[in-house]
Amino acid sequence: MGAFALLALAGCNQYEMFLLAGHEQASFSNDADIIFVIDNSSSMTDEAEDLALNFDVFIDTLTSTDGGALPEGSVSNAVDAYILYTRERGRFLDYNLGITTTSVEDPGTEPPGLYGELVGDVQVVDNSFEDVSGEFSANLLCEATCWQAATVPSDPNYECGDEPDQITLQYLDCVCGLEAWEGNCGSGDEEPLEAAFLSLCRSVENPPDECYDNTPFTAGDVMTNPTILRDEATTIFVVVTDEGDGSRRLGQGDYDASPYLELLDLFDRTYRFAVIGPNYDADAGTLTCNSGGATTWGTERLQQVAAETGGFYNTIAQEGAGGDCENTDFATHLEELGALLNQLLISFPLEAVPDIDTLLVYVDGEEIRLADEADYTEDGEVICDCWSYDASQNAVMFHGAAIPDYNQLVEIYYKPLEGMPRTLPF
Amino acid sequence: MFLALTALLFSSDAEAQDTLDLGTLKNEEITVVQKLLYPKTGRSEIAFQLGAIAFDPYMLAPKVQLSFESHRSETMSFGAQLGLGYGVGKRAYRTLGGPAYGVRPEAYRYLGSVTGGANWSPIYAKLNWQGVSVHHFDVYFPFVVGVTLERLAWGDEYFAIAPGVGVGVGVRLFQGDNGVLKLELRDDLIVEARKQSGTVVPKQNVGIHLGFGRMTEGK
Repeated sequence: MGAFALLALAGCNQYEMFLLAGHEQASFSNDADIIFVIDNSSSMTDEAEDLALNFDVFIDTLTSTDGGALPEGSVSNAVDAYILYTRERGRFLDYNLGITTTSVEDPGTEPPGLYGELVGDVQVVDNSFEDVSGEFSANLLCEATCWQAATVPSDPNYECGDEPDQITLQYLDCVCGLEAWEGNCGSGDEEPLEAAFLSLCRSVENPPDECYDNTPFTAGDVMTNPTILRDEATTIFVVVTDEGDGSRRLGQGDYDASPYLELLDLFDRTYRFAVIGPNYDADAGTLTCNSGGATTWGTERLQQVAAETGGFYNTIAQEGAGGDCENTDFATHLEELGALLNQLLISFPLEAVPDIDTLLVYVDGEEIRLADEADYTEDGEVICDCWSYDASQNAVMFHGAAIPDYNQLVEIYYKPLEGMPRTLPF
Repeated sequence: MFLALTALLFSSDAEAQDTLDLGTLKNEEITVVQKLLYPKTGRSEIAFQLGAIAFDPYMLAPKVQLSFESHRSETMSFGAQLGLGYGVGKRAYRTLGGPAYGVRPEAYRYLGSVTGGANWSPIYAKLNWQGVSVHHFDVYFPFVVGVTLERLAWGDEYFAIAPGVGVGVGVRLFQGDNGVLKLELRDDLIVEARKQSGTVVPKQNVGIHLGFGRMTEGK
């Protein structure tokens, strides 16, 4: 009897439960489904052109396999060396690229809206394509850009296949087919958040009921973006607009975009917003170079979704040296987008908010140390072979040589601050 | 049995001329109810046992145990035990850590223990097995103190050296003059400081051991 009592007691051993975030680098965080939400109103032609012409920069950032990017003796600055080393890992990224527009009008109206549909005969371009940049630019220029034939320059000497310095009538005819690039102007009521939401509605077999509320979306639109989303991939919405957000589910003058974040949460996916939008300084309350007629509240919505999803917000135009407004450098924007995507490789989101003191991080069974004060530069950069915790993303960030390599197993143990996120079977 | 003993006591030589009055044998005066074939007093015992700490909800630790005992009397001995093993996660541990739950208990795996203490052996008995053989055995109760070394199951650098006390019950089945077959169930109640959670908690390592021992020659 006593022996049985002992056994019963042993079964009562109490343990604190830790959450385990365990991922193989190959199967987690390096899949990115990128949906560009392009403002195709008439004021955005120049910006679309810049985007198309600079897209190579973005692709180069993602696909660099150049071993020369790794620091050699000539690279004396440790920070630069660290950044180069981190970026070189972009070759592990596996991405899908698609484009929709900010126009959500009913297709029966003029101009018709896409309400989240991805453009192009080939809706999704991925890194298996031989000419990723060319395919993407063709979709952008031929299907999602508002061209006014009278304002597009002509270059009679252009021959199809040449690399263009600027977008010309002849180039567009070569890429899209004779005058096939015309007639793609969208509504002046830009709704990037609604378009982002509807693009997901079109991508899943069982869209939530909210997809059908107050939109042109019908059952016939289900799975009309069938290949853009992949399990476990992070969805990146890249919004390019010179206006703010005027999405229909929010009232005029409403600054708070939280209802749209809640709608996107319905899809149970990790997502981020990267926004290239109006030049609005919320602190000063000033909109600079506001050629598109952006509103402060519409712009703040975009700034909010970028901040709250761990993305970034860059301005689409700024004053130049002479005081004139000019487009900001899209090469820089796209490079930053590439860096954001590469960050997926070094950032491992946690399911619950951790008790930081309990975090333990392993890569292939080897414990990685936590960054200490000496590892931070004055700019807040972390320089070490270690990890740090980023509260804004609720993620463990890897640094230096501690960044997991392809196929390495990452295990992160932590005790959640507020209980277990799901009921346990034992 | 009492009747048999009484008969034996009174079965003196039938040819005796004088009758001896031995008096009346009382129950409280009987200290030996059977023939003690395997006395332990003054002998030492070394045993090797295989076993497992098997009753934890998450960890199973196969182990070996080496023990030494010095029998000071038939009912009391003092000794030391060295245990070595390696705890592995049970199915429940693996299931929780899988993709469906992503949870790990802060379980520590058993690596070893050193204990020492006394064994109280109040019972010596014999067993008739199916009418063909008679086995002598004793039943003992170990009381030990010691330390146990454990390591966090998912952290190779996180050890716990946990003090504790152990109690249990064992059976020593005598095999000839010097051999014993030992079966022992012992609960080591240890106090473990767990680093990640910052908690100090009691834990019971209930081990079951089976093995052979060798006793030195008696005096």
